[in-house]
Amino acid sequence: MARRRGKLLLKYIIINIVVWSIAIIWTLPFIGVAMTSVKPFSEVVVHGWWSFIGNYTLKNFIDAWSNPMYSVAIGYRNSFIVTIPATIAPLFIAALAAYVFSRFSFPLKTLLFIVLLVIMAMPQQMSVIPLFFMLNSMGLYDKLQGLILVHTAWGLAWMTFFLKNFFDALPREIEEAARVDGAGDAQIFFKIVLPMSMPAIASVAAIQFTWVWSDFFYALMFLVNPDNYVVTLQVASMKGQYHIDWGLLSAGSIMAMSVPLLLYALLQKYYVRGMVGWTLKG
Amino acid sequence: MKKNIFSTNKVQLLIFLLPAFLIVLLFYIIPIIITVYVSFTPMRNWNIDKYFNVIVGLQNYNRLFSLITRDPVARQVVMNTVVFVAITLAINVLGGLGLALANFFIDERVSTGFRTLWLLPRMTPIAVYGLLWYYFFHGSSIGMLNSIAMSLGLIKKPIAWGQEVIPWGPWSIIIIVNGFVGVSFGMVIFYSALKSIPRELIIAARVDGASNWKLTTNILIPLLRWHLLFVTTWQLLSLLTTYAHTFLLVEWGVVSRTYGQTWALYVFNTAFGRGEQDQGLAAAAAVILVIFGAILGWITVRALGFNKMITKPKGDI
Repeated sequence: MARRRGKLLLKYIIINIVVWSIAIIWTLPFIGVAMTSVKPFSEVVVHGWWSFIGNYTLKNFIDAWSNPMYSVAIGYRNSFIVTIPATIAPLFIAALAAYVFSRFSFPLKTLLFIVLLVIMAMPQQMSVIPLFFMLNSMGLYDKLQGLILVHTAWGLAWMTFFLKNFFDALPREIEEAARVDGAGDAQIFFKIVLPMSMPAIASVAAIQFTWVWSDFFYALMFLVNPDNYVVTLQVASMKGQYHIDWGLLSAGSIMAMSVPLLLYALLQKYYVRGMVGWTLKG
Repeated sequence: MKKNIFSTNKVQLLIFLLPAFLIVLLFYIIPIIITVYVSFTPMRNWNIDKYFNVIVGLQNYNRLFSLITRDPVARQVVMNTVVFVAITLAINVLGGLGLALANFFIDERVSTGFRTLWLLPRMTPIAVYGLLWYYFFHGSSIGMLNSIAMSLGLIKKPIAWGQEVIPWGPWSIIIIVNGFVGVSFGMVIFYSALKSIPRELIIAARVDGASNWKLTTNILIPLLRWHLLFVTTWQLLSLLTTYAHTFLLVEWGVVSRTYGQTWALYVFNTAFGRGEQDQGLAAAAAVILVIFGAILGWITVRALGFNKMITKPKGDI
Protein backbone atom coordinates (compact mmCIF):
# COMPACT_ATOMS: atom_id res chain seq x y z
CA MET A 1 0.00 0.00 0.00
CA ALA A 2 2.79 2.41 0.92
CA ARG A 3 4.71 1.53 -2.20
CA ARG A 4 1.64 2.15 -4.31
CA ARG A 5 1.14 5.51 -2.69
CA GLY A 6 4.81 6.36 -3.28
CA LYS A 7 4.45 5.48 -6.95
CA LEU A 8 1.34 7.66 -7.23
CA LEU A 9 3.14 10.55 -5.57
CA LEU A 10 6.08 10.19 -7.95
CA LYS A 11 3.73 10.18 -10.93
CA TYR A 12 1.97 13.26 -9.56
CA ILE A 13 5.28 15.08 -9.20
CA ILE A 14 6.43 14.12 -12.72
CA ILE A 15 3.16 15.23 -14.30
CA ASN A 16 3.38 18.54 -12.47
CA ILE A 17 6.99 19.13 -13.49
CA VAL A 18 6.15 18.45 -17.14
CA VAL A 19 3.08 20.67 -17.12
CA TRP A 20 4.83 23.52 -15.32
CA SER A 21 7.87 23.48 -17.60
CA ILE A 22 5.64 23.61 -20.67
CA ALA A 23 3.79 26.50 -19.05
CA ILE A 24 7.00 28.41 -18.43
CA ILE A 25 8.25 27.94 -22.00
CA TRP A 26 4.80 28.94 -23.16
CA THR A 27 4.85 32.22 -21.29
CA LEU A 28 8.54 33.04 -21.70
CA PRO A 29 8.02 35.65 -24.45
CA PHE A 30 5.29 37.29 -22.35
CA ILE A 31 7.50 37.38 -19.26
CA GLY A 32 10.40 38.82 -21.26
CA VAL A 33 8.29 41.61 -22.68
CA ALA A 34 6.73 42.40 -19.30
CA MET A 35 10.17 42.66 -17.69
CA THR A 36 11.60 44.79 -20.49
CA SER A 37 8.68 47.19 -20.31
CA VAL A 38 9.16 48.09 -16.64
CA LYS A 39 12.96 48.36 -16.60
CA PRO A 40 15.29 51.00 -18.00
CA PHE A 41 16.75 49.54 -21.16
CA SER A 42 20.36 50.21 -20.15
CA GLU A 43 19.84 47.79 -17.25
CA VAL A 44 18.18 45.17 -19.44
CA VAL A 45 21.30 45.17 -21.62
CA VAL A 46 23.64 44.76 -18.66
CA HIS A 47 21.78 42.34 -16.38
CA GLY A 48 19.50 40.58 -18.88
CA TRP A 49 15.73 40.90 -18.89
CA TRP A 50 15.26 38.05 -16.42
CA SER A 51 17.07 39.89 -13.63
CA PHE A 52 14.83 41.27 -10.87
CA ILE A 53 17.50 43.56 -9.41
CA GLY A 54 17.84 47.22 -10.34
CA ASN A 55 15.37 49.99 -10.95
CA TYR A 56 11.81 49.85 -12.18
CA THR A 57 10.25 52.60 -14.24
CA LEU A 58 6.99 53.53 -15.92
CA LYS A 59 8.76 55.79 -18.39
CA ASN A 60 8.27 53.34 -21.26
CA PHE A 61 4.53 53.28 -20.70
CA ILE A 62 4.28 57.07 -20.57
CA ASP A 63 6.40 57.39 -23.72
CA ALA A 64 4.33 54.84 -25.60
CA TRP A 65 1.06 56.38 -24.47
CA SER A 66 1.88 59.85 -25.79
CA ASN A 67 4.44 59.07 -28.46
CA PRO A 68 4.56 61.95 -31.00
CA MET A 69 4.84 59.58 -33.99
CA TYR A 70 2.68 56.59 -33.09
CA SER A 71 0.77 56.87 -29.86
CA VAL A 72 -1.13 54.24 -27.92
CA ALA A 73 -3.60 56.94 -26.80
CA ILE A 74 -4.71 57.65 -30.39
CA GLY A 75 -4.62 53.92 -31.08
CA TYR A 76 -6.92 53.20 -28.15
CA ARG A 77 -9.34 55.88 -29.28
CA ASN A 78 -9.48 54.52 -32.85
CA SER A 79 -9.67 50.92 -31.69
CA PHE A 80 -12.66 51.67 -29.48
CA ILE A 81 -14.33 53.69 -32.24
CA VAL A 82 -14.00 50.67 -34.55
CA THR A 83 -14.48 47.79 -32.13
CA ILE A 84 -17.64 48.80 -30.30
CA PRO A 85 -19.86 49.38 -33.36
CA ALA A 86 -18.20 46.45 -35.17
CA THR A 87 -19.30 44.23 -32.27
CA ILE A 88 -22.82 45.54 -31.71
CA ALA A 89 -23.93 46.03 -35.33
CA PRO A 90 -23.20 42.52 -36.65
CA LEU A 91 -24.53 40.99 -33.44
CA PHE A 92 -27.85 42.73 -33.87
CA ILE A 93 -28.12 42.03 -37.60
CA ALA A 94 -27.08 38.39 -37.14
CA ALA A 95 -29.55 37.87 -34.29
CA LEU A 96 -32.43 39.06 -36.50
CA ALA A 97 -31.41 36.78 -39.35
CA ALA A 98 -30.70 33.83 -37.06
CA TYR A 99 -34.14 34.14 -35.49
CA VAL A 100 -35.81 33.92 -38.88
CA PHE A 101 -33.63 30.95 -39.85
CA SER A 102 -34.47 29.22 -36.60
CA ARG A 103 -38.21 29.79 -36.40
CA PHE A 104 -39.71 30.21 -39.85
CA SER A 105 -39.74 28.45 -43.14
CA PHE A 106 -39.52 30.44 -46.34
CA PRO A 107 -38.50 29.84 -49.96
CA LEU A 108 -34.75 29.25 -50.59
CA LYS A 109 -34.09 28.86 -46.87
CA THR A 110 -31.88 25.79 -47.22
CA LEU A 111 -29.93 27.34 -50.09
CA LEU A 112 -29.33 30.56 -48.15
CA PHE A 113 -28.16 28.62 -45.15
CA ILE A 114 -25.70 26.59 -47.24
CA VAL A 115 -24.39 29.85 -48.72
CA LEU A 116 -23.81 31.05 -45.17
CA LEU A 117 -21.83 27.92 -44.30
CA VAL A 118 -19.69 28.16 -47.45
CA ILE A 119 -18.94 31.78 -46.64
CA MET A 120 -17.82 30.79 -43.14
CA ALA A 121 -15.23 28.49 -44.70
CA MET A 122 -13.99 31.07 -47.24
CA PRO A 123 -10.54 32.46 -46.54
CA GLN A 124 -9.87 36.20 -46.41
CA GLN A 125 -7.78 35.96 -49.57
CA MET A 126 -10.91 35.39 -51.64
CA SER A 127 -12.36 38.78 -50.83
CA VAL A 128 -9.58 41.24 -49.92
CA ILE A 129 -8.60 42.26 -53.45
CA PRO A 130 -12.10 43.39 -54.49
CA LEU A 131 -12.77 44.86 -51.02
CA PHE A 132 -9.79 47.11 -51.57
CA PHE A 133 -11.20 48.74 -54.69
CA MET A 134 -14.78 48.62 -53.43
CA LEU A 135 -13.90 50.67 -50.35
CA ASN A 136 -11.90 52.96 -52.58
CA SER A 137 -14.82 53.63 -54.88
CA MET A 138 -17.22 54.14 -51.94
CA GLY A 139 -14.88 56.77 -50.49
CA LEU A 140 -14.36 54.64 -47.39
CA TYR A 141 -10.69 53.88 -47.92
CA ASP A 142 -8.59 55.16 -45.01
CA LYS A 143 -11.81 55.73 -43.02
CA LEU A 144 -12.70 54.05 -39.75
CA GLN A 145 -16.27 53.60 -41.06
CA GLY A 146 -14.94 51.40 -43.84
CA LEU A 147 -13.13 49.20 -41.35
CA ILE A 148 -16.30 48.93 -39.24
CA LEU A 149 -18.26 47.78 -42.29
CA VAL A 150 -15.67 45.15 -43.22
CA HIS A 151 -15.58 43.74 -39.69
CA THR A 152 -19.37 43.76 -39.50
CA ALA A 153 -19.54 41.69 -42.67
CA TRP A 154 -16.77 39.35 -41.54
CA GLY A 155 -18.52 38.61 -38.24
CA LEU A 156 -22.01 38.13 -39.67
CA ALA A 157 -21.73 34.62 -41.07
CA TRP A 158 -20.47 32.76 -38.00
CA MET A 159 -22.64 34.83 -35.64
CA THR A 160 -25.77 33.91 -37.58
CA PHE A 161 -24.76 30.27 -37.49
CA PHE A 162 -23.96 30.33 -33.77
CA LEU A 163 -27.13 32.19 -32.78
CA LYS A 164 -29.34 30.00 -34.97
CA ASN A 165 -28.06 26.94 -33.11
CA PHE A 166 -28.73 28.67 -29.82
CA PHE A 167 -32.26 29.75 -30.78
CA ASP A 168 -32.99 26.20 -31.99
CA ALA A 169 -32.33 24.95 -28.47
CA LEU A 170 -34.54 27.54 -26.75
CA PRO A 171 -37.96 26.31 -25.59
CA ARG A 172 -40.73 27.65 -27.80
CA GLU A 173 -43.62 27.46 -25.37
CA ILE A 174 -43.10 30.99 -24.06
CA GLU A 175 -43.08 32.42 -27.56
CA GLU A 176 -46.22 30.52 -28.47
CA ALA A 177 -47.96 31.75 -25.34
CA ALA A 178 -46.98 35.33 -26.16
CA ARG A 179 -48.31 34.89 -29.67
CA VAL A 180 -51.61 33.66 -28.34
CA ASP A 181 -51.72 36.83 -26.26
CA GLY A 182 -51.35 38.81 -29.48
CA ALA A 183 -47.67 39.76 -29.53
CA GLY A 184 -46.08 40.40 -32.95
CA ASP A 185 -42.83 38.95 -34.32
CA ALA A 186 -40.80 42.02 -33.44
CA GLN A 187 -42.24 42.20 -29.92
CA ILE A 188 -41.53 38.52 -29.30
CA PHE A 189 -37.98 38.85 -30.61
CA PHE A 190 -37.05 41.92 -28.59
CA LYS A 191 -39.01 41.23 -25.41
CA ILE A 192 -38.63 37.46 -25.08
CA VAL A 193 -36.00 35.90 -27.34
CA LEU A 194 -33.22 38.46 -26.93
CA PRO A 195 -33.39 38.59 -23.11
CA MET A 196 -33.38 34.78 -22.95
CA SER A 197 -30.32 34.69 -25.21
CA MET A 198 -28.01 36.82 -23.09
CA PRO A 199 -25.45 34.02 -22.48
CA ALA A 200 -25.09 33.37 -26.22
CA ILE A 201 -24.94 37.08 -26.95
CA ALA A 202 -22.19 37.51 -24.36
CA SER A 203 -20.18 34.71 -25.99
CA VAL A 204 -20.55 36.13 -29.46
CA ALA A 205 -19.78 39.67 -28.33
CA ALA A 206 -16.67 38.61 -26.41
CA ILE A 207 -15.23 36.72 -29.36
CA GLN A 208 -16.06 39.38 -31.92
CA PHE A 209 -14.68 42.16 -29.72
CA THR A 210 -11.38 40.32 -29.34
CA TRP A 211 -11.22 39.52 -33.02
CA VAL A 212 -11.81 43.12 -34.11
CA TRP A 213 -9.51 44.59 -31.48
CA SER A 214 -6.76 42.15 -32.39
CA ASP A 215 -7.12 42.53 -36.12
CA PHE A 216 -4.06 43.80 -37.87
CA PHE A 217 -4.55 43.02 -41.54
CA TYR A 218 -7.76 44.78 -42.46
CA ALA A 219 -6.40 47.81 -40.62
CA LEU A 220 -3.08 47.53 -42.45
CA MET A 221 -4.77 47.27 -45.84
CA PHE A 222 -7.50 49.85 -45.39
CA LEU A 223 -5.90 52.55 -43.21
CA VAL A 224 -3.09 54.83 -44.39
CA ASN A 225 -2.92 57.89 -42.16
CA PRO A 226 -1.25 57.27 -38.76
CA ASP A 227 -3.99 59.41 -37.16
CA ASN A 228 -6.44 56.67 -38.14
CA TYR A 229 -4.28 53.77 -37.02
CA VAL A 230 -5.85 51.37 -34.53
CA VAL A 231 -3.76 50.38 -31.55
CA THR A 232 -2.27 47.22 -33.08
CA LEU A 233 -1.02 49.24 -36.06
CA GLN A 234 0.32 51.99 -33.81
CA VAL A 235 2.33 49.54 -31.74
CA ALA A 236 3.62 47.61 -34.75
CA SER A 237 4.72 50.89 -36.33
CA MET A 238 6.71 51.82 -33.21
CA LYS A 239 9.26 49.28 -34.37
CA GLY A 240 11.45 51.59 -36.46
CA GLN A 241 13.30 50.39 -39.53
CA TYR A 242 16.80 50.84 -38.10
CA HIS A 243 16.55 51.83 -34.48
CA ILE A 244 14.51 49.66 -32.14
CA ASP A 245 13.44 51.02 -28.76
CA TRP A 246 12.74 47.70 -27.04
CA GLY A 247 11.36 49.30 -23.87
CA LEU A 248 8.89 51.44 -25.82
CA LEU A 249 7.88 48.50 -28.00
CA SER A 250 7.33 46.24 -24.98
CA ALA A 251 5.26 48.82 -23.11
CA GLY A 252 3.15 49.46 -26.22
CA SER A 253 2.63 45.71 -26.71
CA ILE A 254 1.44 45.29 -23.14
CA MET A 255 -1.02 48.15 -23.45
CA ALA A 256 -2.36 46.85 -26.78
CA MET A 257 -2.97 43.35 -25.44
CA SER A 258 -4.27 44.38 -22.03
CA VAL A 259 -7.77 45.20 -23.29
CA PRO A 260 -8.58 41.78 -24.83
CA LEU A 261 -6.79 39.98 -21.99
CA LEU A 262 -8.77 41.88 -19.37
CA LEU A 263 -12.00 41.10 -21.19
CA TYR A 264 -10.94 37.47 -21.43
CA ALA A 265 -10.22 37.34 -17.69
CA LEU A 266 -13.68 38.73 -16.95
CA LEU A 267 -15.66 36.71 -19.49
CA GLN A 268 -13.62 33.51 -19.69
CA LYS A 269 -16.62 31.22 -19.38
CA TYR A 270 -18.31 32.88 -22.35
CA TYR A 271 -15.21 32.68 -24.51
CA VAL A 272 -14.89 28.96 -24.05
CA ARG A 273 -18.59 28.41 -24.65
CA GLY A 274 -18.34 30.52 -27.75
CA MET A 275 -15.37 28.60 -29.13
CA VAL A 276 -17.01 25.26 -28.51
CA GLY A 277 -20.55 26.24 -29.33
CA TRP A 278 -20.41 27.73 -32.78
CA THR A 279 -18.16 25.05 -34.17
CA LEU A 280 -19.65 21.92 -32.68
CA LYS A 281 -23.29 21.12 -32.66
CA GLY A 282 -25.00 17.78 -32.43
CA MET B 1 -40.77 20.86 -36.66
CA LYS B 2 -39.84 23.80 -38.89
CA LYS B 3 -43.43 24.39 -39.98
CA ASN B 4 -45.03 27.77 -39.89
CA ILE B 5 -46.10 27.32 -36.31
CA PHE B 6 -46.57 31.05 -35.97
CA SER B 7 -48.76 33.37 -37.97
CA THR B 8 -46.05 35.01 -39.99
CA ASN B 9 -45.97 38.53 -41.16
CA LYS B 10 -44.03 38.35 -44.44
CA VAL B 11 -42.96 41.99 -44.52
CA GLN B 12 -41.67 41.89 -40.98
CA LEU B 13 -39.64 38.75 -41.68
CA LEU B 14 -38.14 40.35 -44.76
CA ILE B 15 -37.06 43.33 -42.66
CA PHE B 16 -35.45 40.88 -40.22
CA LEU B 17 -33.46 39.17 -42.97
CA LEU B 18 -32.67 42.06 -45.28
CA PRO B 19 -29.73 43.74 -43.47
CA ALA B 20 -27.82 40.48 -43.14
CA PHE B 21 -28.60 39.55 -46.73
CA LEU B 22 -27.45 42.89 -48.14
CA ILE B 23 -24.19 42.94 -46.20
CA VAL B 24 -23.36 39.34 -47.09
CA LEU B 25 -24.11 40.06 -50.73
CA LEU B 26 -22.07 43.26 -50.84
CA PHE B 27 -19.06 42.20 -48.79
CA TYR B 28 -18.84 38.48 -49.50
CA ILE B 29 -20.63 37.21 -52.54
CA ILE B 30 -19.81 40.06 -54.90
CA PRO B 31 -16.13 40.20 -53.83
CA ILE B 32 -15.77 36.43 -54.27
CA ILE B 33 -17.24 36.65 -57.76
CA ILE B 34 -14.96 39.60 -58.58
CA THR B 35 -11.91 37.67 -57.33
CA VAL B 36 -12.70 34.79 -59.65
CA TYR B 37 -13.24 37.30 -62.48
CA VAL B 38 -9.99 39.17 -61.75
CA SER B 39 -8.09 35.89 -62.01
CA PHE B 40 -8.99 35.95 -65.71
CA THR B 41 -7.74 39.53 -66.24
CA PRO B 42 -4.19 40.95 -66.40
CA MET B 43 -4.96 43.28 -63.45
CA ARG B 44 -1.83 44.76 -61.88
CA ASN B 45 -0.86 47.73 -59.71
CA TRP B 46 -4.54 48.38 -58.98
CA ASN B 47 -4.93 49.84 -62.47
CA ILE B 48 -8.65 49.15 -62.70
CA ASP B 49 -9.41 51.46 -65.65
CA LYS B 50 -6.79 49.87 -67.85
CA TYR B 51 -7.17 46.18 -67.07
CA PHE B 52 -10.60 45.47 -65.63
CA ASN B 53 -12.26 44.86 -69.01
CA VAL B 54 -9.44 42.82 -70.53
CA ILE B 55 -9.97 39.07 -70.42
CA VAL B 56 -6.93 36.88 -70.94
CA GLY B 57 -8.43 33.48 -70.27
CA LEU B 58 -6.30 31.10 -68.31
CA GLN B 59 -3.08 33.08 -68.76
CA ASN B 60 -2.65 33.74 -65.01
CA TYR B 61 -3.16 30.06 -64.22
CA ASN B 62 -0.61 29.09 -66.86
CA ARG B 63 1.88 31.58 -65.45
CA LEU B 64 1.30 30.24 -61.97
CA PHE B 65 1.86 26.68 -63.17
CA SER B 66 5.08 27.53 -65.02
CA LEU B 67 6.31 29.50 -61.99
CA ILE B 68 5.83 26.45 -59.79
CA THR B 69 7.56 24.13 -62.23
CA ARG B 70 10.46 26.44 -63.19
CA ASP B 71 10.97 29.23 -60.66
CA PRO B 72 12.95 28.08 -57.58
CA VAL B 73 11.30 30.74 -55.37
CA ALA B 74 7.78 29.61 -56.26
CA ARG B 75 8.78 25.98 -55.82
CA GLN B 76 10.14 26.83 -52.39
CA VAL B 77 6.74 28.39 -51.57
CA VAL B 78 5.05 25.05 -52.28
CA MET B 79 7.66 23.20 -50.22
CA ASN B 80 7.27 25.65 -47.29
CA THR B 81 3.49 25.24 -47.39
CA VAL B 82 3.66 21.43 -47.31
CA VAL B 83 6.13 21.33 -44.40
CA PHE B 84 4.40 24.12 -42.48
CA VAL B 85 0.88 22.73 -42.81
CA ALA B 86 1.83 19.11 -42.14
CA ILE B 87 3.90 19.71 -39.00
CA THR B 88 1.77 22.49 -37.53
CA LEU B 89 -1.35 20.39 -38.08
CA ALA B 90 0.21 17.48 -36.22
CA ILE B 91 1.20 19.79 -33.35
CA ASN B 92 -2.21 21.42 -33.22
CA VAL B 93 -4.18 18.18 -33.16
CA LEU B 94 -1.90 15.95 -31.08
CA GLY B 95 -0.73 18.80 -28.84
CA GLY B 96 -4.31 19.92 -28.31
CA LEU B 97 -5.28 16.36 -27.44
CA GLY B 98 -2.32 16.02 -25.08
CA LEU B 99 -3.10 19.29 -23.30
CA ALA B 100 -6.78 18.38 -23.00
CA LEU B 101 -5.92 14.97 -21.50
CA ALA B 102 -3.38 16.54 -19.14
CA ASN B 103 -5.99 19.04 -18.00
CA PHE B 104 -8.46 16.21 -17.61
CA PHE B 105 -6.20 14.18 -15.32
CA ILE B 106 -4.60 16.90 -13.20
CA ASP B 107 -6.26 18.61 -10.29
CA GLU B 108 -9.29 20.69 -11.31
CA ARG B 109 -8.10 23.87 -9.59
CA VAL B 110 -4.70 23.71 -11.27
CA SER B 111 -6.14 22.91 -14.68
CA THR B 112 -8.43 25.96 -14.61
CA GLY B 113 -5.38 28.18 -14.29
CA PHE B 114 -3.57 26.34 -17.04
CA ARG B 115 -6.40 26.58 -19.48
CA THR B 116 -6.33 30.35 -19.05
CA LEU B 117 -2.61 30.24 -19.78
CA TRP B 118 -2.95 28.11 -22.91
CA LEU B 119 -5.42 30.55 -24.39
CA LEU B 120 -3.07 33.50 -23.88
CA PRO B 121 -1.57 33.36 -27.43
CA ARG B 122 -5.05 33.27 -28.94
CA MET B 123 -6.20 36.30 -26.96
CA THR B 124 -3.12 38.36 -27.79
CA PRO B 125 -3.50 40.64 -30.83
CA ILE B 126 -1.66 39.23 -33.85
CA ALA B 127 0.68 42.20 -34.20
CA VAL B 128 1.58 42.08 -30.51
CA TYR B 129 2.12 38.34 -30.56
CA GLY B 130 4.32 38.84 -33.61
CA LEU B 131 6.29 41.46 -31.70
CA LEU B 132 6.80 39.07 -28.76
CA TRP B 133 8.37 36.50 -31.04
CA TYR B 134 10.28 39.17 -32.91
CA TYR B 135 11.89 40.04 -29.61
CA PHE B 136 12.32 36.37 -28.69
CA PHE B 137 14.08 35.26 -31.89
CA HIS B 138 15.83 38.55 -32.69
CA GLY B 139 19.23 37.99 -34.31
CA SER B 140 21.15 40.40 -32.06
CA SER B 141 22.40 39.72 -28.55
CA ILE B 142 19.28 41.56 -27.28
CA GLY B 143 17.02 38.77 -28.59
CA MET B 144 15.62 36.75 -25.67
CA LEU B 145 16.71 33.37 -26.99
CA ASN B 146 20.20 34.64 -27.83
CA SER B 147 20.58 36.36 -24.47
CA ILE B 148 19.59 33.19 -22.61
CA ALA B 149 21.78 30.92 -24.73
CA MET B 150 24.77 33.27 -24.45
CA SER B 151 24.55 33.73 -20.70
CA LEU B 152 24.35 29.94 -20.34
CA GLY B 153 27.42 29.69 -22.55
CA LEU B 154 25.69 27.59 -25.20
CA ILE B 155 26.66 29.91 -28.04
CA LYS B 156 29.52 32.40 -28.42
CA LYS B 157 27.90 35.00 -30.64
CA PRO B 158 24.23 35.75 -31.42
CA ILE B 159 22.49 33.67 -34.07
CA ALA B 160 19.83 34.95 -36.46
CA TRP B 161 17.64 31.90 -35.97
CA GLY B 162 15.27 32.55 -38.83
CA GLN B 163 17.90 33.60 -41.37
CA GLU B 164 20.89 31.35 -40.85
CA VAL B 165 19.83 27.87 -39.83
CA ILE B 166 18.36 27.03 -43.26
CA PRO B 167 15.76 25.65 -43.77
CA TRP B 168 14.78 24.38 -40.34
CA GLY B 169 15.49 27.65 -38.54
CA PRO B 170 12.84 29.69 -40.36
CA TRP B 171 10.52 26.69 -40.57
CA SER B 172 10.72 26.02 -36.83
CA ILE B 173 9.91 29.64 -36.03
CA ILE B 174 6.77 29.84 -38.17
CA ILE B 175 5.69 26.41 -36.91
CA ILE B 176 6.25 27.32 -33.24
CA VAL B 177 4.47 30.66 -33.47
CA ASN B 178 1.44 29.30 -35.34
CA GLY B 179 1.44 26.09 -33.33
CA PHE B 180 1.22 27.94 -30.00
CA VAL B 181 -1.82 29.81 -31.25
CA GLY B 182 -3.48 26.82 -32.89
CA VAL B 183 -3.01 24.26 -30.16
CA SER B 184 -5.45 26.00 -27.82
CA PHE B 185 -8.32 25.46 -30.24
CA GLY B 186 -7.98 21.67 -30.15
CA MET B 187 -7.50 21.79 -26.40
CA VAL B 188 -10.72 23.70 -25.76
CA ILE B 189 -12.78 21.46 -28.05
CA PHE B 190 -11.29 18.20 -26.72
CA TYR B 191 -11.44 19.25 -23.09
CA SER B 192 -15.10 20.19 -23.23
CA ALA B 193 -15.81 16.89 -25.01
CA LEU B 194 -13.92 14.97 -22.30
CA LYS B 195 -15.88 16.78 -19.62
CA SER B 196 -19.17 15.80 -21.22
CA ILE B 197 -18.35 12.06 -21.11
CA PRO B 198 -20.65 10.44 -18.52
CA ARG B 199 -18.82 10.00 -15.21
CA GLU B 200 -20.21 6.46 -14.80
CA LEU B 201 -18.19 5.23 -17.78
CA ILE B 202 -14.94 6.46 -16.26
CA ILE B 203 -15.78 5.26 -12.76
CA ALA B 204 -16.70 1.83 -14.13
CA ALA B 205 -13.39 1.60 -15.96
CA ARG B 206 -11.54 2.66 -12.81
CA VAL B 207 -13.32 -0.02 -10.79
CA ASP B 208 -12.18 -2.55 -13.38
CA GLY B 209 -8.61 -1.39 -12.67
CA ALA B 210 -7.91 0.59 -15.85
CA SER B 211 -4.81 2.80 -15.71
CA ASN B 212 -4.80 6.36 -17.06
CA TRP B 213 -3.20 5.07 -20.25
CA LYS B 214 -5.74 2.27 -20.74
CA LEU B 215 -8.55 4.67 -19.97
CA THR B 216 -7.22 7.12 -22.55
CA THR B 217 -6.61 4.71 -25.41
CA ASN B 218 -9.61 2.44 -24.89
CA ILE B 219 -12.32 4.84 -23.80
CA LEU B 220 -11.50 8.53 -24.09
CA ILE B 221 -9.93 8.67 -27.55
CA PRO B 222 -12.58 6.48 -29.22
CA LEU B 223 -15.22 8.79 -27.77
CA LEU B 224 -13.38 11.81 -29.17
CA ARG B 225 -13.32 10.51 -32.74
CA TRP B 226 -15.82 13.02 -34.06
CA HIS B 227 -14.02 15.88 -32.39
CA LEU B 228 -10.66 14.71 -33.72
CA LEU B 229 -12.05 14.70 -37.22
CA PHE B 230 -13.56 18.12 -36.80
CA VAL B 231 -10.42 19.73 -35.35
CA THR B 232 -8.19 18.12 -37.98
CA THR B 233 -10.28 19.32 -40.89
CA TRP B 234 -10.87 22.77 -39.45
CA GLN B 235 -7.21 23.30 -38.59
CA LEU B 236 -6.08 21.97 -41.96
CA LEU B 237 -8.19 24.54 -43.76
CA SER B 238 -7.19 27.41 -41.51
CA LEU B 239 -3.47 26.54 -41.68
CA LEU B 240 -3.64 26.45 -45.47
CA THR B 241 -5.02 29.98 -45.54
CA THR B 242 -3.33 31.62 -42.55
CA TYR B 243 -0.69 34.24 -43.17
CA ALA B 244 -1.01 36.86 -40.45
CA HIS B 245 1.77 35.84 -38.05
CA THR B 246 4.00 34.62 -40.86
CA PHE B 247 3.63 37.88 -42.75
CA LEU B 248 4.88 39.91 -39.79
CA LEU B 249 7.77 37.56 -39.05
CA VAL B 250 8.91 37.73 -42.68
CA GLU B 251 8.28 41.47 -43.01
CA TRP B 252 10.29 42.24 -39.90
CA GLY B 253 13.15 40.04 -41.02
CA VAL B 254 12.89 37.48 -38.21
CA VAL B 255 12.28 34.76 -40.78
CA SER B 256 13.89 34.52 -44.20
CA ARG B 257 11.51 35.50 -47.01
CA THR B 258 12.49 32.51 -49.15
CA TYR B 259 11.91 29.91 -46.45
CA GLY B 260 9.08 31.60 -44.55
CA GLN B 261 6.65 32.33 -47.38
CA THR B 262 3.75 29.91 -47.61
CA TRP B 263 1.15 29.84 -50.38
CA ALA B 264 -1.32 31.92 -48.37
CA LEU B 265 1.30 34.59 -47.77
CA TYR B 266 2.33 34.40 -51.42
CA VAL B 267 -1.22 35.38 -52.41
CA PHE B 268 -1.12 38.36 -50.09
CA ASN B 269 2.36 39.49 -51.10
CA THR B 270 1.61 39.15 -54.81
CA ALA B 271 -1.42 41.42 -54.49
CA PHE B 272 -0.30 43.88 -51.79
CA GLY B 273 3.44 43.38 -51.35
CA ARG B 274 6.43 45.43 -52.34
CA GLY B 275 7.45 45.93 -55.94
CA GLU B 276 5.02 45.10 -58.71
CA GLN B 277 1.60 44.15 -57.43
CA ASP B 278 0.03 41.56 -59.65
CA GLN B 279 -3.62 41.17 -58.60
CA GLY B 280 -4.48 38.92 -61.54
CA LEU B 281 -1.90 36.36 -60.52
CA ALA B 282 -2.80 36.74 -56.84
CA ALA B 283 -6.48 36.13 -57.58
CA ALA B 284 -5.60 32.99 -59.54
CA ALA B 285 -3.44 31.80 -56.64
CA ALA B 286 -6.32 32.46 -54.22
CA VAL B 287 -8.76 30.49 -56.37
CA ILE B 288 -6.28 27.58 -56.56
CA LEU B 289 -5.88 27.77 -52.77
CA VAL B 290 -9.64 27.47 -52.21
CA ILE B 291 -10.01 24.59 -54.68
CA PHE B 292 -7.04 22.83 -53.13
CA GLY B 293 -8.44 23.40 -49.62
CA ALA B 294 -11.82 22.01 -50.64
CA ILE B 295 -10.22 18.87 -52.11
CA LEU B 296 -7.93 18.32 -49.12
CA GLY B 297 -10.78 18.90 -46.69
CA TRP B 298 -12.91 16.37 -48.56
CA ILE B 299 -10.07 13.81 -48.58
CA THR B 300 -9.50 14.29 -44.85
CA VAL B 301 -13.16 13.75 -44.08
CA ARG B 302 -13.20 10.62 -46.24
CA ALA B 303 -9.85 9.26 -45.05
CA LEU B 304 -10.79 9.63 -41.40
CA GLY B 305 -14.06 7.86 -42.11
CA PHE B 306 -16.71 10.47 -41.56
CA ASN B 307 -19.51 7.96 -42.07
CA LYS B 308 -18.20 5.73 -39.33
CA MET B 309 -17.64 8.64 -37.03
CA ILE B 310 -21.06 10.17 -36.99
CA THR B 311 -22.49 6.99 -35.53
CA LYS B 312 -21.70 6.88 -31.86
CA PRO B 313 -19.51 3.94 -30.80
CA LYS B 314 -21.48 1.32 -28.97
CA GLY B 315 -21.02 -2.05 -27.32
CA ASP B 316 -17.26 -2.04 -26.89
CA ILE B 317 -17.10 0.71 -24.29
